[in-house]
Amino acid sequence: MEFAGKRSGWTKLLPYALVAPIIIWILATIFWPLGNVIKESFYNTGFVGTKGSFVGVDNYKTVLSSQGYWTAWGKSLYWVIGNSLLQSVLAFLTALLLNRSSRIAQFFRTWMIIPWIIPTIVVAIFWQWIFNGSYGIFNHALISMGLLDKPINLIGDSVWSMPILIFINTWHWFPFMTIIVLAGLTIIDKEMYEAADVDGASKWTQFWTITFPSLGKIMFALGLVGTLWSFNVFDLIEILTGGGPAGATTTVPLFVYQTAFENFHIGQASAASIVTAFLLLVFVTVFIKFGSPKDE
Amino acid sequence: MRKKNWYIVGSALLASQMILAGCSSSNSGNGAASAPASGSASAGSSASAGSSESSGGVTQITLWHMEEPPNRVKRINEVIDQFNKANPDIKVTAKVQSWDDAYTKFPAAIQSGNGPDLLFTIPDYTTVIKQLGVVQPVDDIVKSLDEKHHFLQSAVTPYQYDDHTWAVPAYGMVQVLWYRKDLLDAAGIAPPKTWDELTAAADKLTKGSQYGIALPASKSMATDQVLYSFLVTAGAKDIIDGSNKVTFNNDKTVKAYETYAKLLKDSPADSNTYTWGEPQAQFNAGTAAMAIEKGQYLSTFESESGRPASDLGIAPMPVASGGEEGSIYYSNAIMMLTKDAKKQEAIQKFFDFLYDPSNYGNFLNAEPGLFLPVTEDGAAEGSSFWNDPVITKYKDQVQVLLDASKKGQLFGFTNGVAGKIGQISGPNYLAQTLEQITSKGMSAADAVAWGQSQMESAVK
Repeated sequence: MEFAGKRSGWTKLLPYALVAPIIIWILATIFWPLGNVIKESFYNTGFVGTKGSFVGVDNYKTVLSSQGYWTAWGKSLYWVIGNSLLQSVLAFLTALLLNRSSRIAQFFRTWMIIPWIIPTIVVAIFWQWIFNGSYGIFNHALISMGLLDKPINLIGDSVWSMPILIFINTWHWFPFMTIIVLAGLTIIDKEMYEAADVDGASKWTQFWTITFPSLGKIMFALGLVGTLWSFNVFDLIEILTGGGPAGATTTVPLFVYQTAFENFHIGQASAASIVTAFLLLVFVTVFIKFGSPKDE
Repeated sequence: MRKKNWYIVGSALLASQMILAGCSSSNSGNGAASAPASGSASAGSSASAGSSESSGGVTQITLWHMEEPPNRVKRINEVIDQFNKANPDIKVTAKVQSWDDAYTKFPAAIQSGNGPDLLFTIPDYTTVIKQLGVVQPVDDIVKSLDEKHHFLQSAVTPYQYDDHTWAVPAYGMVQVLWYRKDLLDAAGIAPPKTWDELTAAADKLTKGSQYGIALPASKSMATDQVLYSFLVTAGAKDIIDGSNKVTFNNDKTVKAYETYAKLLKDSPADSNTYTWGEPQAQFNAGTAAMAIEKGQYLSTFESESGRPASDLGIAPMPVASGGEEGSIYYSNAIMMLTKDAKKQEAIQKFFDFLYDPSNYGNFLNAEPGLFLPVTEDGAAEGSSFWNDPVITKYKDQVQVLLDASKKGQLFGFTNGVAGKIGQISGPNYLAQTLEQITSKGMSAADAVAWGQSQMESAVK
């Protein structure tokens, strides 16, 4: 304590000076644009770059009463839940398979990460080619096997487009989730499994009583961050379907983009962004309150 | 603080940052001051978009165009280099941009002083950019060029409103019916002149892995344009008037959508993902016997199809019973954004050079057949336009395109100039109306009523 009291002014300022750049960076890159979005949400700005006039909360009223906005929320929930379920199942299965010391497991631990490191644009283009209704290998294979007589257009189908997008996004992201789960598995004390074996517990019982609870913190973090990541995915959907056909894949981020840059309603798009951010914050609060792992 | 709480706080902070980042990134174009990413190819020096001040006695002019294919970039740069060489006191620098950035990034770049002096445009985009208050009238330039070269009226009219001319027409584009002569001959079908003949031909030509026609049906400008050619020939070209009153919902429009939807049954299964390139690829591959598009089919037909040039058939857009001849036609133009008098003087010189018949054809043939002359002497026999080998080879087809230009129409500019046409073309409401039929199973009448209501809301 005595030492701290004698610190020079510079020494006292040093910690602040060290963190200042990142604070300034965050303020400039997150909060300044955010402040602009909040401001624009109270103006009837149309085309980007033009000046609108103050309209109070009219944009919020328009957004909250917009059928298109809530339909987009429905699509977003479909998207997020579909991705979460599929990625979780695949990631757990893969991580459990790779949590061994065999050479094959070690080999695949390295190479299974490939889908995750491929840039989204490349992922989108090659899956677009695979599912292409005219030249795609998917149709070619099904027709060759006699399962189809004419090509089908899954990406352009109003029913199948969303499941196909979820499949492609899952393929892209599940390796990341697998790695996180695998990291969690490796730190579980092996003695717990040995003790369970001695007690005669089945592998299934061991999974639900040892493995799954031990991954609670990891699942919590993945659930929280993964949900938000999924929710905010824009590029893959925009490239593959642009939100179509007829709005079948228009999630909230695409709705906001289209409102701003295709319909030229920057003010309404800003209000939709703020309402969306608020709803996501509510989700985060509820998730933390009820989903956080219990103390050991 | 306990370990668990640190964990929760850390996760919450990360989550908050992601929410905010997601929220703010949706509007990244708003207030952003950076210029859009430019293509690497440029004529002259690689001066930045904003550094176009007069320096060292040389007046710097920056030009942004959105003609991205390498052959177009190369030719445009060649023409500009010739101008720069002939005018050592002026340096025009071309920067290749993307139409994808035109609505999202250009405005911010322009307002922050990083915009160009000259910007390529199309009629509805001009109405949008004009809202920024930066577009300069070009009445004197157009008048002077018109006296020398005589602009086609249909090319200039879409840029004339609010007592001024807002852009200098550069080249026209028009849609026609392309057909594979070899496939039609084999089926014993004459080139269709009416909608009934078109649908019958498409039906007859669809067999096995071959489709009668390839049409775009995605939510895109490509679909908007082909649909509008059907509206024109249905007799329903006026979808909005000069006071922004929407007149889309009528029997003729419904008939056009019914016919388009019917033709889609003879178009490949993935047509609702098509824009411009896919129908052309299907046509060249012989998978589709017909397509409705502009003149870009000329330059690639032989190399991509492996067929002789004589197999590329062309006909004016078929007409509905009770409809009128025509198709979509619009001129691409160049807006002047600088107020600097010295630069404006240099720009006048640049235009004088560009529209000289000995240079104009070289510019137009950056994409032979697609870019059509908008001046009378530009299309005259003996002008440089006819020197290009592709134009020479397909002279008859080019003449059909030039004739079609004279009957061309453009939505938003047929009954006065609709200042809010950008609000209809931006969201692709013509194409979205089609999607209501193809994806949601609506009747054509209900879909057109839906389109009318969407358009009315958009221009309100």
